[in-house]
Amino acid sequence: MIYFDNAATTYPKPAGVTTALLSAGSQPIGNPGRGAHAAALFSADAVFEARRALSRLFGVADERRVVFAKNATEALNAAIFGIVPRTGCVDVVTSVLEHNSVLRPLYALQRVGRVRLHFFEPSVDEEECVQRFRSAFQGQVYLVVLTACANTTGLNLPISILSRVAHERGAFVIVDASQSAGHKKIGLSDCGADCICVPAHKGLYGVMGVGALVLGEGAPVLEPYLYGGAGFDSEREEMPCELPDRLEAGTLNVHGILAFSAGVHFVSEFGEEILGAHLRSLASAFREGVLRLGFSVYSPIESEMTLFNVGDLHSAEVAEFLSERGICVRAGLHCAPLAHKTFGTSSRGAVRASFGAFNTQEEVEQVLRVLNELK
Amino acid sequence: METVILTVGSITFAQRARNLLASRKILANLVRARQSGCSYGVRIDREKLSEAQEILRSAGMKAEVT
Repeated sequence: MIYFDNAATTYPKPAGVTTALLSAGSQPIGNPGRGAHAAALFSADAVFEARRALSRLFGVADERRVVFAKNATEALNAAIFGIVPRTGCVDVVTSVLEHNSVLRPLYALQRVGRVRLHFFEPSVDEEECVQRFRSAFQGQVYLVVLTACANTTGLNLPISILSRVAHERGAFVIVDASQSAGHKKIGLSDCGADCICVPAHKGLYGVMGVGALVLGEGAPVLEPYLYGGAGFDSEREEMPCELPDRLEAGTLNVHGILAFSAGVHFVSEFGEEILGAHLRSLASAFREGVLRLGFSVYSPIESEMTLFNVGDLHSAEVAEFLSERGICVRAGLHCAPLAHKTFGTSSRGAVRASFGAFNTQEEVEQVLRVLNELK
Repeated sequence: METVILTVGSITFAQRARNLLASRKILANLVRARQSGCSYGVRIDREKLSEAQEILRSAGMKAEVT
């Protein structure tokens, strides 16, 4: 199998992650933050260490500002519903490249009159991108929600500049770092965001079922998105005021968090720059190869994945052709309908080849040879 | 050794308190506090109480004896 669908989830996982997950099955994993016996404290400490590892990776001093969720979608929902005021209507700026995990919560809020949405189309040219972003600021913008890297083309947005512009206008910034975390330095101070949302199972090489919100010092107090037990202060009717418990109702996916911790360790050992350079090298070779075959490419030169189409074929046909030959890619709209509308590919979608730490140049050459059969 | 429990709040706060005290050479164990309701605390040597409370207060943590 050649696995070029790492933007959906990374495969394979590093040995340390597999070990962490398997060994969790035989360790005394109690429910953290519930009991005070050895098993509960064992897992509580493991979860704490995971928070610490993530706080170091994203540049926050206080590990309590790392909140676990079940995936980036839940983290983004918690951030968006948590920051948008419960009454009144506010202006929100976002981009046409966003994933439905950003669009759908915003649409839901728009339907009930709590937000007015203003979209901008990012550009490969940084100056043009910033200018378009500025033009989207109409009214008193309260919130900006942006992807750091489009999950379709792999376009990297100039997040630090856009965050600065947003803050100058008094807006909070939520960054969806689902496609950046692990291969691009995306610390809170680097990108200037108030909140970063990430999944465990993509560039951080953890497993599915875990994600995180990382909250900067300047982030507002978030209203809870989920209500339930927090393991302390049970007599209160409200969720606790303190982080992370305010935003972590119910039992955590402790096994997944242990694996997440191991994934973060893997990324920290290599460093985001090295991992990112590897992905860009593969994507660059693949992109050039696809262009030489005469196919359409939608990804910019500096990206870590390649979005393309083959002649007039429907993207699903191409993906099926590749799948029959043991090659895994993703076709369709990638849960980013506005992006595809921008590319003009709404009717047939496009094929996305997305690379990971364990892919090789030989695999890229092999897939290009297979694609050549479609010429 | 006589011990005392300092109530801190959530498990995460208690872990932070424990680690902070440990960095200042005060041994602390995570326990459930004894007050009504449910909270976590750290059990420490009673002789270290004032020092521990000052350390936690300086770090912005409330720590009440229960």
